[in-house]
Amino acid sequence: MFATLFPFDSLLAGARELGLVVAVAVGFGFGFVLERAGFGRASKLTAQFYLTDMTVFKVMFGAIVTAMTGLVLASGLGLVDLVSVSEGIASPTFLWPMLAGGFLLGVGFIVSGYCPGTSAVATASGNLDGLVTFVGVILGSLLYGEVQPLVQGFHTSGDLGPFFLYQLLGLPAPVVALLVAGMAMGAFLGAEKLERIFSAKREGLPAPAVGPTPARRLAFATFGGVAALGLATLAFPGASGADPSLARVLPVSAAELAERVVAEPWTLRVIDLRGEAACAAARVPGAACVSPEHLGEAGLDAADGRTVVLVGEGDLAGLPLAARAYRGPVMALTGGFAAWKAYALTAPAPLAASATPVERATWGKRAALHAQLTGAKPAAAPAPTGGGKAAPARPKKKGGGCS
Amino acid sequence: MDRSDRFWNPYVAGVLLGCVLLGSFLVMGKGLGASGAANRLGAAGLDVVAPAHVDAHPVFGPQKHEGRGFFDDWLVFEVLGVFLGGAVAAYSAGRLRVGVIKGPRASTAARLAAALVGGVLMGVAARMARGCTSGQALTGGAVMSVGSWVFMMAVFGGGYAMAHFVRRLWT
Amino acid sequence: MHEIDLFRHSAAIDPHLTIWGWEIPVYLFLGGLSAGVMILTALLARGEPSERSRALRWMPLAVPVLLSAGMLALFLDLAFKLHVLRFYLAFRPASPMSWGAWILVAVYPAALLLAAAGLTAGEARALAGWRPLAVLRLGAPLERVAAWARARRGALSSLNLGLGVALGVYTGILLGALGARAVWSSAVLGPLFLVSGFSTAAAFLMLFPIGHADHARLRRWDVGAIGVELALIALYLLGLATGGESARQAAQLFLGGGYTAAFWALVVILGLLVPLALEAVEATRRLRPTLVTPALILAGGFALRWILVSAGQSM
Repeated sequence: MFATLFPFDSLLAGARELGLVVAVAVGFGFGFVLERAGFGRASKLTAQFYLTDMTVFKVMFGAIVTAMTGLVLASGLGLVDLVSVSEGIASPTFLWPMLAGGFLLGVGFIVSGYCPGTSAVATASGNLDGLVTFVGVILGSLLYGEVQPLVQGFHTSGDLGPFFLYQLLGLPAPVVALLVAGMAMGAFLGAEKLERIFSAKREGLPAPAVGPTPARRLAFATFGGVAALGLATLAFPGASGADPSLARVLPVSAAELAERVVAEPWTLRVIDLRGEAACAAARVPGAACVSPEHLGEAGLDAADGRTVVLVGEGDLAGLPLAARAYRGPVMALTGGFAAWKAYALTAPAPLAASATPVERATWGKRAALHAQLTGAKPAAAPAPTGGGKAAPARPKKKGGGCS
Repeated sequence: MDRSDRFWNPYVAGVLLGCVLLGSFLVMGKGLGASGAANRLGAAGLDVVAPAHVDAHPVFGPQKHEGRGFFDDWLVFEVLGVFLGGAVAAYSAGRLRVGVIKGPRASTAARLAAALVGGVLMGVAARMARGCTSGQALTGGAVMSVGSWVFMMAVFGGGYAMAHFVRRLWT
Repeated sequence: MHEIDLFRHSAAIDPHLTIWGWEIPVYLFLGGLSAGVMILTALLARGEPSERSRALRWMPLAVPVLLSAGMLALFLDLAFKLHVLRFYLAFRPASPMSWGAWILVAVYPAALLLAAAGLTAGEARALAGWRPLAVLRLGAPLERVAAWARARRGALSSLNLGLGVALGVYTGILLGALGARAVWSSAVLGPLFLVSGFSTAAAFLMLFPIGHADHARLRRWDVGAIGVELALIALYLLGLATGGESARQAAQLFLGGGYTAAFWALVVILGLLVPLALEAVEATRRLRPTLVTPALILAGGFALRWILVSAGQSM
């Protein structure tokens, strides 16, 4: 699956540089469409707030619904993972600054006639007021940047983390997308009515360039169709659930990992994603403590023949972006560090006297590994009772003195 | 006063914009934006006049030292594209001309002063909210982030609340 | 200027040397621009002087101005500034710098004469009456020179054309002379800088009121020049990518390495593709010319030289 061709945040040099070039192309499309929609003109933008021209509302929500339903559909088809992509795209929710900032931006919008993005488009069209607005935005952000350390409390208040509507409502994402699409379509019809009423009130204002109804029908069909398709993907088994990014990750059990760490540690590159404090307290021998945000700097763009083993608290929810481009085998410890602790750092329960040879063998191996990894003296296996044919096999103690 | 007034149908423009946005999501795992670039441009400018201050600043310092400097950022290149795309679109529609857009009752000076004041307010607001209408409302709204929807409704609220007081500028 | 020859490319061992700053890209840009102006003014020098726009007729005067500014930048870069005299005490056929020094000497009079050839009789008389010239008794000689030049307009055009091409190619070869730098060790740089100079000069001319027909002609030529430039850039990168190890590393700088974003965004998209689109739209929809197109072309041309000089020193 192509799941984002140039995952930008992976910070791998080649992908990032090409990504910056793609950014220019994306911005070009953005600016082009905005200008052709008429958003290079303050008069058209502000008419929204006098209810005479609802173009801003239509374009904005039309874009939101299109992208939203498309993304949900892509996620339903398994092309991307909705939550991890969304977390990379949107900032976490900070309720109070966003509420206050939104209100303030609305005020600034109607006063200046543009929003920051449209002021860039206006500048590109030659409108000096757009240029002045853009300069103002630069100055304003500098101003806030200067005082931000003083208002840090407010700046980070209402921190709900990455929080999405479908999490808030407890409904599957395609259902929420369909509801939003439906609401938007109703809102569009209402908006057109308002347009007609308020334009008629102000005689002499040129009628907004409302296209013929076929366009609206087509748009509505697109919204509804894609949203319905997205809903349909809920019926596909396995479409959601397992994170598609984990498809290439091989699971490794704590037992397997313990053996390999002791016997052939040079073939492994263990990366502990739990966070510095937890990792410093106890970790898999030879593990590198890398918190997920710094994974891009761990040098995973060069495959050096080792197998990367990722260790989390428990099972990994998804493959971190920076690890996706690693060209060698990637494994994830099933059960995470909790499983490791349970297997390798906890002494095995004493063997029952009636254990089978196989059980004795596995117990013995585990006991030896536990001894090796914690430095405790290995427990002795109880003598087999009954006709145990072979003594429990004692695994050779491997590895050098450094564990 | 208004020149060529042939604009695209708003629904068509909305769907096309949504496609650009969706494409950006799927190919790059990134959305759109503008205020982030303005922030970096400002910091870069500040660095020219007060480099020591920028180095020590908790907000601007990382922008200078992480990666390859101020301009090593998705949004800066995206905004460059916005300027280019806007220019080509305006030119090909015959709308590329130097001028000032204002309402019939406003003077040019008042208009430009309002543009500056409004811009400053938006600069502050965008930093506060971690984005502007393109970044937070459009992009965040499309991925259904709760904060983005709250932001979006607050933007409309603020605009409508203030509209009455600045009607002299626009009507 | 201290020249240090290095025959290794190991970043771990060799020090990072940035010898050249802003001066060299500025010099290369203005040199290429002047070369292009010479070529274009020569090509457009047809018809009686009174038929062509004044801006176009006087345009060759820009050449000494631009070139002097470029050479000032170059001069500022020299460590031993008085050594510049040594360039003019010898001619070494194997050295591009020697060629360049003497081409520059020839360019000044050639361009000035072409400008003189562009003066109408009335303008020459008015210029001769200008107080500083009259005081120095240069008025009458000036008129005679202008008349002489006007009569030999064809020959002067050819001379300017030849010198312009030589100057344009020289700016590209100048970098190639330092063969140790893999980024510059390509024969395509000479033609690339020449065509880029042609295109930037067309943009420069478009900034002036030169009349509709000539503007349309320049636009057509510029579209062709941009197309050739894109092809030459592709050839350049291809040549690097199929060369030896150091050449491949040089190509990587622009294909995923540190200069990828700046090169493709500023040089290719902003400096070539968008102006191409604007000019195509201008032609097909018969729009009034805009200053945005020449501004972008000039910015892209400067970015090309800046990035190539910077990238060449980075590895």
